[in-house]
Amino acid sequence: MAPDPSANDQYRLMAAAELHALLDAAVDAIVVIDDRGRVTTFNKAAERMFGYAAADMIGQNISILMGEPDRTQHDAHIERYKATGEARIIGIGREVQARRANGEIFPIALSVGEARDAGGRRFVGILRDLSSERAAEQQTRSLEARLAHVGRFNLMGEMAAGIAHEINQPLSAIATYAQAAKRIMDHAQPNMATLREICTKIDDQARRAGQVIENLRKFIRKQEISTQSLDVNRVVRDVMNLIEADAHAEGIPVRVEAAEGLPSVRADAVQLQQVLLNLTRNSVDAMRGGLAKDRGITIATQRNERGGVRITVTDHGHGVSRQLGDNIFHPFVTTKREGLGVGLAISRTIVQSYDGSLTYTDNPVGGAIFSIDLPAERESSAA
Amino acid sequence: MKAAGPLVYLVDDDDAVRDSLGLLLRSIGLDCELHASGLDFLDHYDPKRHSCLVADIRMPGLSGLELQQRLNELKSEIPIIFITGHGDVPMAVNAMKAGAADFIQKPFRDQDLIDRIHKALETDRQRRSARAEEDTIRERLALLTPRETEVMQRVVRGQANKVIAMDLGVSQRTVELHRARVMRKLKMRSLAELVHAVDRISVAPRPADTESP
Repeated sequence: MAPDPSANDQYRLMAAAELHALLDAAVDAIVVIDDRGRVTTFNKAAERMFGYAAADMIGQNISILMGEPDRTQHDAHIERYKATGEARIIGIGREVQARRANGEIFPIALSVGEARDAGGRRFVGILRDLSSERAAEQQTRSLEARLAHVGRFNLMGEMAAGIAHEINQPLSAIATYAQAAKRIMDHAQPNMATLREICTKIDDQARRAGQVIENLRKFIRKQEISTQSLDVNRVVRDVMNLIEADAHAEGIPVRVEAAEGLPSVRADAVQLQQVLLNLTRNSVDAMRGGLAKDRGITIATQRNERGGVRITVTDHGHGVSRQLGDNIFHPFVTTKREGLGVGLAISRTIVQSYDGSLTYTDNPVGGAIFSIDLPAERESSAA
Repeated sequence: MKAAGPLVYLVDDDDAVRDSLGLLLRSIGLDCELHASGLDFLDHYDPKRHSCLVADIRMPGLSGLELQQRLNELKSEIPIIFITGHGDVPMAVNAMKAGAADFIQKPFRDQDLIDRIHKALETDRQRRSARAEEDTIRERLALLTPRETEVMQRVVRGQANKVIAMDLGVSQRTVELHRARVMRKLKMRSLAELVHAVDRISVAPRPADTESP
């Protein structure tokens, strides 16, 4: 049977409708241009992605959708491809910068295909918005940076002990040299050469001690602290994965009781997280192997009596002995066999630098409660 | 040959601390030998020498406590004074339990250290002279005949001459003669002295000669 010309036309119309439906249903943006860079097709996803209506885009040069340097070079690219057949992107695909109607530049994955027919050359571009993917990567990177920072915080504890030792050695040598010198001076005929030598050695050791302190200063200078306006619940949420990693390894559950509608506080988020991490690590250490492990650790936020915010870390460990009391906040005081006794001292210093306080109370059912109190951020100071 | 005086072994990994302590001890006429590590000290340690050991409790490589353990294994009785830093008290307690003579916490006064060293050297001297006396008693006991040894052991256990004579089937006079020879060979002047001497040997076996079971 010979094909009916009208039926053929109908078939074409149907195919065009199908194509349209297909293009508009596509999740990715699809844009077709002719061999002079003019848009011939602009699907619904492309409209959503760029914020242009298809009607406005048809006939426009595709380059308005591009970020630099492609925006100004695109026409030349097409001419070069037509002349040499050397493809830079066709059949390859890559990540490029695109430009929305509102001027925002964002990353996309672009792949381009080529169609040739009687009407000439067409280029079909399929575009995927990468901005949310990039944002997630960015967040991962910043989390990594924070983790590294937390690592450095632990290092600070080790450093504090190291510094005590590093300074004690030369000081102890200086004292002993001086005492030896005094005893030599008491000899009937003191050996002046020896005394001179001892003085040089004392000088050397004093410099050695000074160097240790200088290195410490340099280290501290590196960590510049700026405070931001913070939502403590968010701070707690952001450090939970680290806290849980510690606690769950010991089979200790961690509960969060976050109060709603708390005022914001001014602090450094990473530092505050380090303080929380330090407190919960202490809790984990205190509960390790204990009978009340199942009762877990509770991190709670609430409004305090002064209108500020209180974060409490409550555990069911061995608590702090009465005789130790507030001394646990002093440097080098510890109940841990392996501990150095600097964690709480540093934590309290950090909290106090925000005009806050870090205090200890006994948990009435056994264990420890550490409370961080921070003043509410004053509206005027935010200006 | 002139007998060597007491020696202080000084072990500290910190060059300046070790050097300054050496100067201090030499300034008051004490002989000392400096070592940067426990192993270096063990290589040069002479157990026959009247000495004491001053060592930092915290050292890389062989720690103070490990060094003490090695010395205990060698059955050395050298008195040890550990130098400790802040917060090393639990370590020092363990060291004392393992037989260390003393410990001194940094920072310390020179006189304090010197006093402790003199005390440790005195302990070492007394131990050495006690060991020497025990050695003399052992040497003398070896001179006794089997029969004299038998009589000596019964005397020490508190048996009367008459009982010993009956048990051994000899006259009381013979027992008295054996007994007199025992006293003469051991150079003992009284029964009390004999009992004390024999008692000492049996409760304090010579450390270096103790046979493993």
